[in-house]
Amino acid sequence: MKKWSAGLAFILMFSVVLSACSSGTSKETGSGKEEKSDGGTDKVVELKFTTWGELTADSVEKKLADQFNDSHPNIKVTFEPVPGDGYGTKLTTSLAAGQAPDVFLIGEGDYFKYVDKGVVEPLDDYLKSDSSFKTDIFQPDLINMGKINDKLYYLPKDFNPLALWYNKRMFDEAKIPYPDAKWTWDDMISAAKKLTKKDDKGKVKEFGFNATKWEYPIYIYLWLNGTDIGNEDGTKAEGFMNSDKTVAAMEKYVALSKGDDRVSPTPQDTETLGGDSSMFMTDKLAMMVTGRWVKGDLDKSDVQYGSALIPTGEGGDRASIIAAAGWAMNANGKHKKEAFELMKWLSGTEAQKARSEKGQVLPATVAELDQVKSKEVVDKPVIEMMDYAKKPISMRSANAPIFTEEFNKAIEKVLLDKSTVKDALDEAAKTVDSKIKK
Amino acid sequence: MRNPRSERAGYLFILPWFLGLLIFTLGPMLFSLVLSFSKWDIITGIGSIEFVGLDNFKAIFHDELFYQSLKVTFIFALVSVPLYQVVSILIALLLNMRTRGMKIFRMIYFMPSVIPAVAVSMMWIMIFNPEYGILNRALEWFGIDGPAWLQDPSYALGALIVMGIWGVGNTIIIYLSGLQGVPDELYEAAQLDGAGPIRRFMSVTVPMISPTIFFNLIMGIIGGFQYFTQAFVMTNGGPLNSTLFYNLYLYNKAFVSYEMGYASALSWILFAIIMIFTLIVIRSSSMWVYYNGDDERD
Repeated sequence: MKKWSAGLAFILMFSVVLSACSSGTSKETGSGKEEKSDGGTDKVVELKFTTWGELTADSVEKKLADQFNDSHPNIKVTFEPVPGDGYGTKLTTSLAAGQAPDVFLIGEGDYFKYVDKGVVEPLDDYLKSDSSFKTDIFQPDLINMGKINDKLYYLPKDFNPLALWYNKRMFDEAKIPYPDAKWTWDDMISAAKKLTKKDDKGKVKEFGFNATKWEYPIYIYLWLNGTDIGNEDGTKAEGFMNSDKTVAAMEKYVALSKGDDRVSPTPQDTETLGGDSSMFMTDKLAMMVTGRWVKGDLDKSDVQYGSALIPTGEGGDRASIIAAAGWAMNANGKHKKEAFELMKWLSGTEAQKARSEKGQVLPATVAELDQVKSKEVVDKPVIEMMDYAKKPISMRSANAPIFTEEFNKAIEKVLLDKSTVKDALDEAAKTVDSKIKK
Repeated sequence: MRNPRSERAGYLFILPWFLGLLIFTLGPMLFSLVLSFSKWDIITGIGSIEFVGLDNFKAIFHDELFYQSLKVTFIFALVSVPLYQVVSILIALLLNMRTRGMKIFRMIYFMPSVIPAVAVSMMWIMIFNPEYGILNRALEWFGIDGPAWLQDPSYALGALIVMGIWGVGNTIIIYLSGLQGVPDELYEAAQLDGAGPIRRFMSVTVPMISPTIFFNLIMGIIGGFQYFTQAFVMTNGGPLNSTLFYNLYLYNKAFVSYEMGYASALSWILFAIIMIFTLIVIRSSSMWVYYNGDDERD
């Protein structure tokens, strides 16, 4: 036991010691710089902000930080990025130790959780007292996403609606027209059947569609079928996760990756074949529902791809999820006014332009997105998907991890033939509800 | 004779180590002991630690995953500890032969032990890959259709146990030094008395290296119960919790769901379990561990 618990406790205690020793994030530099906005003292406020990834020296965020420092002589901001995998852990432990950066990036999936724990400062008062900055420069949907109980907790950085990505070469080979706006989910599956190819031994070599175990595409699929894994505020699973509609839909979904008629790799197949995007890039997968972040990799490969609207469900409905990231303010930060200045800069027009220049992310602001829209051909459907975005359970409830854990476990059981869909979902719903009551 | 100056120097020399022990080991251990009786959602900072008495322990005994992780860990320890000891002794016996080029063989067997566990794990993920992996390719030659080792709940734990044999180099080296401490005249005497190789091994080698076995057994038990990295990297507990090792579950509680109090309670339960097993081995040692010097004291 010693290894872990001692290690953890050590990190925490060590950070506590450190925080007691240092005087927080501000210190007097004595450089004699005049502070213009804050009563003419010679104090320079030091701020830190963090994101995941972006470790290269010439990253956009680093440049934005430099520009901010140049234009704000009274604030000195340091950019401290964390490699993707360790981000959540690092942020959490630094929050625990009271050493968290003043401004940090949160993904839409973790957002509700952080707000629920009270570590994120609500922004409404800052916005009210600052007439120079209006949130109507942002996509209204993104701002609505950031609101919890009518309070706004983050300013958008960028966004990524999920869309359908397809492999043109595989479509051409099978002589099937590319997906269009009229496609229903059934159209997609019948196309996927034609795109799936087996070798002499009956082993599938090319898959038509990826029925992934990732929750987001599954949520979208369930919404298209008029159901969800939980109620609106995420307090009940019984009658949702195991409703007749959900069971019927999931039976169809699971059948996509099992049996003779399968068109999709199982999650295990995907894992052993190197992941869905690498299967897609090597012409082993014809269609997948995912976010625009795959574009970076796709462009590096020689795959010919297009994007399309996610097909409609039985009732003609369309749905998507926006995967977004936003800047949040540390509720225990020492210099909140300055932190808000930084947030305004990091999500403002200049920053949105700088980030979308390379075409990797979509700008969160209306004007800049309109510009992208006017030029964009390939990803036009992706941008359009934004209009159909709904909030997944992780953005509606702090109980979301309970829902997703049990739901994933149920699907895993079904895929490994350990249970039927109905039994697995009944059990999962019961477990979720019993865990919530506690 | 006491010499205050050299005594003081002695204390000074152990001071850095002693401080390290206090700050980095004992302090955190005490802290985690306190936490095991508290509820602490670590995001909210030190101030939100809430004392809850025995609640964590009560909850743990109703926790299905606690029993699952305990089961996985016990199966792993029960199979792997004896297996690795036997394999290590056998390889050590081979490496103890006086043949040309033996140093190279010793190096080959020891080398895997210096490669970081994460790198080893990445390599074995490739070996176990059902489509492209070397293991299933090799099985194909014999007409066997290999399973999806790490993705199939009936094989995943077994695969990790088998994989562990690759890293027994450290244990082998310790056995090797134990074997080299066995005096040749004992073998000669046994041979004169007509003992064959197996008899010589059982009656001379095993008793003579029993202190080494004792040491390796205890280290093996502790290591077995604390198994973590490979499962974390290779399976993350899956499929269907079939490789949910105790330490992995503990880690998930602490750093995925941020229930630090619960995780601390789990860690103290593991501490108790390891303590009990170690004590059993230590207590039993008087029956089977032979120390060379014992006779003189009697």
